[in-house]
Amino acid sequence: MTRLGIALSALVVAGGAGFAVLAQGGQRIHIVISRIHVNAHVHITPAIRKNGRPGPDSAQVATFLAGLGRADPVVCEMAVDQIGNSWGPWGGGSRVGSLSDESGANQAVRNSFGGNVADARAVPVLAAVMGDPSPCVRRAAAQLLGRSDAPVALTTLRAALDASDARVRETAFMGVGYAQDAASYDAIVRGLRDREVAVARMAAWGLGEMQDERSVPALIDALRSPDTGLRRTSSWALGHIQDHRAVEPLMELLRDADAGVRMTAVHSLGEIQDARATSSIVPLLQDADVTVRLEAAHTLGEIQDKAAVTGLVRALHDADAEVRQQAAHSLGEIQDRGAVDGLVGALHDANADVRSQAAHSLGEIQDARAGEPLAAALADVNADVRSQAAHSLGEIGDPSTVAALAAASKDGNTEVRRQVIHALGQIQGGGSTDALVAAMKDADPEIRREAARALGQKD
Amino acid sequence: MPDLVVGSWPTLAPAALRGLRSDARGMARAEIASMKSGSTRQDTAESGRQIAALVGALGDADVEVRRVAAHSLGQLEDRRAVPGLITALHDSDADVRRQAAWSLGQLEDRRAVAPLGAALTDADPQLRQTAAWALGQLEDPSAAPALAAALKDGDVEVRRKAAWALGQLELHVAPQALVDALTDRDADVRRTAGWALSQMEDPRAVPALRAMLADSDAGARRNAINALSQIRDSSAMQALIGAMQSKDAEVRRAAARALGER
Repeated sequence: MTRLGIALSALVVAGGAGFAVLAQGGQRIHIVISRIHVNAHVHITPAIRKNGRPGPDSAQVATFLAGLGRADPVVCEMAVDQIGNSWGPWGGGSRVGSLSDESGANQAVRNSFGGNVADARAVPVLAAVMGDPSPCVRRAAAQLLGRSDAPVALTTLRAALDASDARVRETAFMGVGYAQDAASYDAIVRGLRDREVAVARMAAWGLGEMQDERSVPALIDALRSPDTGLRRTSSWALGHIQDHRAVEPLMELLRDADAGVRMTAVHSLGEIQDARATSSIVPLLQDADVTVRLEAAHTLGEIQDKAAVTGLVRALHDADAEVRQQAAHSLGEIQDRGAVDGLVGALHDANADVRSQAAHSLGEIQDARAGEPLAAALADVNADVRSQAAHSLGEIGDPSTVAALAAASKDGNTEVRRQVIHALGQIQGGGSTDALVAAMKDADPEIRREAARALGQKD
Repeated sequence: MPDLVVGSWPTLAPAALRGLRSDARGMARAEIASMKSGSTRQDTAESGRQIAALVGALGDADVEVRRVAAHSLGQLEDRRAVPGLITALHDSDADVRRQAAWSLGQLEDRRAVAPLGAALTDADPQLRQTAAWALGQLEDPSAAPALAAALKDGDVEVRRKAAWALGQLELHVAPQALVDALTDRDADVRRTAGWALSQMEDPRAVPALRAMLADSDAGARRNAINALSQIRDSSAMQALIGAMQSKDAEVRRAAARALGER
């Protein structure tokens, strides 16, 4: 490292842990310089965290909360969603991408909400609204306190876990969940049995956020709650923790009366990726609820167990096109030859996305039986289907499909032609080289480049 | 022999490092391809059309097509591409010129020696670097004067590659410029020159190599002792004996090992 680099490291360490990481790679030094520069010119000094941006001060927080309270509920929720987000590394000073009539002062405040609250005076302001009637104001409080750098923010949240007002408790559990506060762990587990079910749900959410395996038995108990919301949240949390002890209990939940619970349970089994679950998920491909069928089709692709192939092939005839597309996709993930006939049939689906996905998955399975049907799909009305068919023909590499590809190298769509050329480069023999030589006369330089590249790989 | 020069060219990956000679490799691939397609022999007429199309593309109006074509011809290692690539050394685009020089290095055809030697005086340092590397690939001794001149290049990377290339040529007489390069201000050039001299085993390099035993760079000292141990000559022997007094323990060890092998 140069002397400049060493000097920078010293500065960087002084600036906070976040910067030390940035300084390790030589390439990043530039970024560090610019951030130090920015910080030197912004007069706010509180501690600087990961994103290197000082958070809002107490006056800004108070104004923000007051504004949220007055806003339309939907607008309010969207505003809270934006807390912690910023406009990339340019959030600081430049006006890249901002509307011309936004004032600089407004932009500075907006950027400050991309950072974390470090001003301890803002904590009582936030604590005061933890029981606010507006759910979105409470969520703002939980989020700003949970992500705050001020130590008093965490102690305030912990104390509020025992508050008499259930709304305050719910907000507090959300806050320690955002903070992933290990010191609150025991209190959160106890919270699963809170007398208010809303609080218990939030505790389950917090445990999912913390991903602490010790909480698995307690969350499994909560799966038997009479409350639908708690069953959903607990099953989500178990999927997030990805512990195999949860597999059997989640499988039992697949027969739950509530579609949301069934869907969440399927999703979580997909997160854990345990093949034991396959046989119990397959029947859900025929669930009355479309979101459950969709999630089942998706999850079976994640688990990649061949036992799911027959069920997924049947799902290629689902009434819902999205389910059919998802089934086609998952069959491509599982890559079992038993799916070829079904996928070939799906090349004639009424929906173009399904046809395109089927074409793609056939390329994943790479079975020669798909060559001829895919060659026929090069004449599909939809350009995306034609592109995928060409791509998959390249993956399969059957020389007998060269003639069809050569014809498709004159397709009206550039992307199709590009995929065709690429595929011709992958296929050995069958006159594929001559087809590429012919493509070197294409009027589009992009195609000539692709062909020249492909020709370089054929010897 | 760990630190010898071969490890120093990550960007250009000389074909020699890949083990097989290019034509042997091409044959093996053609065999595999013909086995796959079920045909018993490669369609040579088709490969002729392939090369002709790519050579034609070296004159394409689109600069990116020309760049890709030049690269592809280097990958195919078919000598029919040589005249076209030589012409492309004068392309209006610098990337095409560099790419052509790289491909000529891949093709290893002697017709490219003089044109690549001329490219060593081009205004573009990257073309000069690639040309020097390519001449090392070609291993043709007639490139020695042009490469020796390139050891005085203002660009350090050109000097490094020229020193390496000279070591590749299997010369028996060390060019004076290579001996002079043992005192280059760049340690990598000095190291590489030391390695190149070890390939030539020319006793006239002994005084300069002996001086380099006191080089500030450990790699240069190591290559100097290596070169001296390759030279079967009493002056080299004297130098090795002298090296037993070196302050550098590694030099003393290497000298002892070299003397033991005599």
